[in-house]
Amino acid sequence: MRFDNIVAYFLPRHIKADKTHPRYNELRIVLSTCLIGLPLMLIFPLPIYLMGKDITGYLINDVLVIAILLSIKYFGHYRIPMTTTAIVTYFIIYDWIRDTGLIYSSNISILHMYLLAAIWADKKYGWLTIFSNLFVFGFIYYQTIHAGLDPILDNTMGGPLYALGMNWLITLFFGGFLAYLQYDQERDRARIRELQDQKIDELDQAVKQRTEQLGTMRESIATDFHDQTGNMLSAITRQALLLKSKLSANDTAQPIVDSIVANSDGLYNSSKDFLWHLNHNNDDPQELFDYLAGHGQYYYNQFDIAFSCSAEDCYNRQFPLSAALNVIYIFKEAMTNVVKHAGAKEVYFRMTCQEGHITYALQDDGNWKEADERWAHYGLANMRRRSEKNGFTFRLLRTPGATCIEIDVPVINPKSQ
Amino acid sequence: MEKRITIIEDNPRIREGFVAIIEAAPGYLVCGQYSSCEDALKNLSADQPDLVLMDIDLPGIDGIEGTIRIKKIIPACMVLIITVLEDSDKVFRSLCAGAVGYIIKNSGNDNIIQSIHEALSGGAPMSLHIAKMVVQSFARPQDSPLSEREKEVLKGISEGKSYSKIALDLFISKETVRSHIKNIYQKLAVNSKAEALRVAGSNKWIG
Repeated sequence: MRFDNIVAYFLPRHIKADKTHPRYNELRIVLSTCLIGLPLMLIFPLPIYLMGKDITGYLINDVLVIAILLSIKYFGHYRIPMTTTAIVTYFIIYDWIRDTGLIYSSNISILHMYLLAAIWADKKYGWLTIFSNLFVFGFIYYQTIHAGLDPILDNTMGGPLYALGMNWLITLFFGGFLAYLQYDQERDRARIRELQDQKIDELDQAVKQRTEQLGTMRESIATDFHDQTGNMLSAITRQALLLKSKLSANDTAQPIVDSIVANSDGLYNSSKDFLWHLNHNNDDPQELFDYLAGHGQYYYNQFDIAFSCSAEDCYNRQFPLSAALNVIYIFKEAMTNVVKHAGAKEVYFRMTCQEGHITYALQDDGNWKEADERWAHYGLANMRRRSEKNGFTFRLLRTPGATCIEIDVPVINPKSQ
Repeated sequence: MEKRITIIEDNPRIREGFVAIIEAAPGYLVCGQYSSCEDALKNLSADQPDLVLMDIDLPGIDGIEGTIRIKKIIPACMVLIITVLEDSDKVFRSLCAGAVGYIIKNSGNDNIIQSIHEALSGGAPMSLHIAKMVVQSFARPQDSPLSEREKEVLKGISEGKSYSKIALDLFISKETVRSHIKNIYQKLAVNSKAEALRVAGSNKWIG
């Protein structure tokens, strides 16, 4: 791939890096043609010089081609130097032809070579060279018949008209053939590009569809719950409560009914939490805070307890996916427990942001009592166990007149990153 | 004078349950129970309820549309929406349609009676999520019709404060807080009728 490296050397800087740039291919082809043509052109001067002929033309041509290369490298532009080279080269070639027999010259084939190089280098205007070549052949013919050549020469060589005609036909054939080759190649390239684009579109569509499907699935799960499970659970609760009211206060079945109500209530609540988990960005600390705050407000409205909350703006922090649901369970339990603290009148829920974790805290102004201890052990043990299992740090702070439960939830993209 | 209550709920077990609770509570009387809005509307004038308990999801005319129609026939009638989940969007739209609040279908008996009592004495509960939507609804270019006090109460709720906390902060009683909320609901219904009829967008289940 040494040649590619050399081509890359001459590419303008901004295109070198960007293979998908629209002009990348175009410039690469011009450069390749020049870079292949240049050494081939350099072969000519030496033998020609040894044969005693003038080589200035070849050297000028080489300089012009180098100018094209440099123009591309530093200006990303080649039309002007290329057009200049094209025109100057015609003069140089004509010079070679004039002294070697005009229409009978062996250098005529250089014009055909020129056509090949032109179409290869610049397919947009290369085909114009067909016409300019036809014109130049015509000019050479004109010069030939006015050059005063010996008629014997004409007879030997088959006549200028025949040479003109053949060269014209060769030009048309050669030109047409090359032009078609170029066109075919382009078409192939375009077809491949199209297939690639199609594939990308298909993949895009598939991903979009999948995402929509998931979204619809979530919604329909929520709706299904609402329609079936939710209604059924409510029906169980309602009927159990109705049954309870029909039994006498000291009926032995009362505890059983209470248990039914508690169970269906519990199931209803944990389904609510699960649905929230399903339908929300449960890696977002703020959404978690909002959910718990809403619950706290709703819950404490039943009692004469003043509940308030505040949250710091923790930009762009994310929880591991399993964290949110567990934080909900812990704090719902904590909020329920507060009601049992003697004299709790105010409850405060807060979220603060630290380096590698987010802290949620529930604080109340009640007093831990003796009677609370037994239940407290069980409830607290639950919270501690759940915290440990999920990698949270659990803290219980007790002072006279204030109890505070704090949880540190680790984040997966800490601020330092 | 006993308060007359109509119940519209298509699940017969749940409806039965509600009827039983209300009948058992002093001061309330079930004047009609129906499984669809259409049936209830036919008998509304004859029943003359003070309050209608209506499921938000009904076959045929749903709770939101039903609220509008009931309020047309008996403007003074209160509508309490029953819902399985606190779906803010639907509940909010029924509030815009003129409902005074909502109760969760799974609530305990006392909770339900308390909600009915609060609604009738003017102060149905409002949650943090609903309050946020109300704030947004009133935040439009036209002048907010809320009084300063009402704005403070609404702000407090949208920040997650319980009624007791708001009462503490504003040096008013809990009952006053509730009556402010009642006024907010009334102004919301006047202000935001269009919201009620808006086609439901993304249903954010907040649980």
